[in-house]
Amino acid sequence: MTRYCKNDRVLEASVKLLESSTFELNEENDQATAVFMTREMAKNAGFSLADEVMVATAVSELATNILRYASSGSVRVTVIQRGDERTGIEILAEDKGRGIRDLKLAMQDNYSTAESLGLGLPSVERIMDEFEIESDFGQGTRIRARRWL
Amino acid sequence: MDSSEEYSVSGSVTNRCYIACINGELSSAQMGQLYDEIVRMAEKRELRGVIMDLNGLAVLDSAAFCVLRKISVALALMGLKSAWMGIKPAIASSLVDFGADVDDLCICLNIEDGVRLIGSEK
Ligand SMILES: Nc1ncnc2c1ncn2[C@@H]1O[C@H](COP(=O)(O)OP(=O)(O)OP(=O)(O)O)[C@@H](O)[C@H]1O
Ligand SMILES: [Mg+2]
Repeated sequence: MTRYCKNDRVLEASVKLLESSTFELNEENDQATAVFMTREMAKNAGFSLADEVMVATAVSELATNILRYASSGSVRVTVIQRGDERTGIEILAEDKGRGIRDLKLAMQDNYSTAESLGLGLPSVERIMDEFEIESDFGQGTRIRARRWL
Repeated sequence: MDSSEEYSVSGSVTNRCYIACINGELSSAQMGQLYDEIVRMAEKRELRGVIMDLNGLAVLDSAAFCVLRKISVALALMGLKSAWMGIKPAIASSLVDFGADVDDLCICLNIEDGVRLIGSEK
């Protein structure tokens, strides 16, 4: 398994999970549902409109990738809290698709195997405060990312 | 899947400009349909250009942006102009966040402005 973390920092383990929804992704409409529900959750957690849209955009990117490269998988969105009471949103995107051979490469701007812009993963890394991607080539991909309020 | 008619784009034609209103959270498959629809429409109606009204769009991810861009490129190859309208602040900041290249896009403020831009000489 290979792993890449934003700023070389693994996600902090000690966070409280407050509320969580899991969205199974099998077809295009599932993505729209996940994006819509994420906006609701972010709004209720106190995120501003701009932040709410950003977190939803990150979910949209990850859901697009799952449907496009792995055909199916899931996204779990959780409202979380740190020791200092700061609230955030955590996204966990998982699939059992073909995985990613070279994570460094996949995380680069403009790298795409699908003739798309290749901006999805790098933009999720930029949008989110904490970001971690793990992949077993041939086995699947797992991404966890957090944005704090 | 029977979503072939579900994607929410509605359109009207003014001054040989097709105004495509794009709403909701568009998935990439729906974006593909949008592409087909707009390009087919452009050919049929002897249009001069297309205004893409994005005001109803809740979220725009990079794959969706890529499709919108491809629509603009395809239209340009057909000799048509395109203008993007109604980019909300939140969508603008996501565009900035994913470092999208927007320099060569034609952005208009409203329909009037779009019609004028599209009608003007190249
Ligand atoms: N869940 C996944 N499973 C397998 N491969 C993936 C997955 N997500 C991303 N990839 C690989 O990583 C590459 C980069 O992904 P990224 O989202 O950054 O760009 P893209 O999807 O190609 O283009 P864009 O997101 O801009 O439309 C993809 O082209 C694909 O090869
Ligand atoms: Mg992508």
